[in-house]
Amino acid sequence: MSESLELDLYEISDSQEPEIKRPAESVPTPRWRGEQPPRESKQDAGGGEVDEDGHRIVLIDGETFTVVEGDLVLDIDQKELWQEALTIRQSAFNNQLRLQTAGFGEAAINQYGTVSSALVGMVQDGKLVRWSPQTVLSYCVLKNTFPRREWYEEVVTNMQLATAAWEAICGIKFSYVPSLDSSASVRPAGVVFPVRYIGAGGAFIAAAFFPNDPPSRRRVLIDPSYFTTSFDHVGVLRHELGHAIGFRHEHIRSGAPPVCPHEDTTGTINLTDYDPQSVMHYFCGGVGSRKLAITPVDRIGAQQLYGPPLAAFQLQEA
Amino acid sequence: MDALTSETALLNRHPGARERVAALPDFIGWRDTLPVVEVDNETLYVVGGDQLKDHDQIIVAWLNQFRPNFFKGEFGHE
Repeated sequence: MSESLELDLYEISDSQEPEIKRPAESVPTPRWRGEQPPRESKQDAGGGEVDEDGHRIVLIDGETFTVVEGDLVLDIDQKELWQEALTIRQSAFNNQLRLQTAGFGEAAINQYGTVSSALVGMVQDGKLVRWSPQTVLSYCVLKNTFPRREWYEEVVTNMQLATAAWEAICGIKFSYVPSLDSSASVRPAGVVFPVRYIGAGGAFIAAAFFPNDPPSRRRVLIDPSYFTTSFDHVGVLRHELGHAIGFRHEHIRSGAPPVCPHEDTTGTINLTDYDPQSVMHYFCGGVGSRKLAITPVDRIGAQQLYGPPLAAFQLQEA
Repeated sequence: MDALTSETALLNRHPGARERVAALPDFIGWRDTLPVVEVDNETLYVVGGDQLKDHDQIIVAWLNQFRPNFFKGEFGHE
């Protein structure tokens, strides 16, 4: 395989010194952390003085205090700390509410008030895109499309490893249907998607689909460059299957190095922390990994869409 | 009949938009940078290294990235 094929997967030379953009703060900077605006006060319904936030102000020994939560008397510094904590809690609550509204169930909140997950999900018509519960993503590997038997066999083995990797970390289920491997059709009935070889001239190493793609586009395509790439071959399939279960590229997020390829981010949802080692991150800007392994952060993000791995449950028949 | 993509459905709701964008030199220049593959007699563009999109999908992707206000006012300013 030529080096240019590697570049098609957006491998960017490490010699470029990327400017790392900091992710946007998840908690908006409170107004009071900037230049302090003149303090305003007005009267409350009972005739007492209140500040701009509606909290009662009291004067004790010549010093102004603010009363919050009924009985907490805070000086100006304490009020700022209290306001900061309140803002973080509110932001965490809003995140949780947003995820619950989107059908994630109860989201985990870490000590920083952010949701501890990664991966970029997809949203369509205001709802998260994922496969229905109970869906078994059946597939076959179309033997007749591969010019070499050993290439077919490698893909069969690597698909089993890659699907097992996702099944081990979240509640998704794949099923290999080898009886359809010899199908003459490129779109055999009986599986959700086929895996097939295609000579794409190195336009990609492998390509997959998203859950909301039309059924005719549900296929994993393998270019000849797959068999010579220096990326981990199972990892490439882990990455492609990540698309197939609804995850977009991690490097399209604001925290990624600017040299990483840009994409339209419409219809995506950032589940918070950027993970430069994510299985969905390209090797670009000095981050990413040729292993394309599923990270612990990927696991948390995937479980927000699909729940824990099915093997974690003691399933009972009705 | 296969389901429509959300991008095709969007462009169908705005008659003339597809043709208008397809004729824009900026769009044509961007589209021409994308690798093209033929899969099952369908022309697809490779976006982001490994995502295959049809012509309607790249029109909408381009609008989202470069003309986010296009549909406001029925693309009168384009």
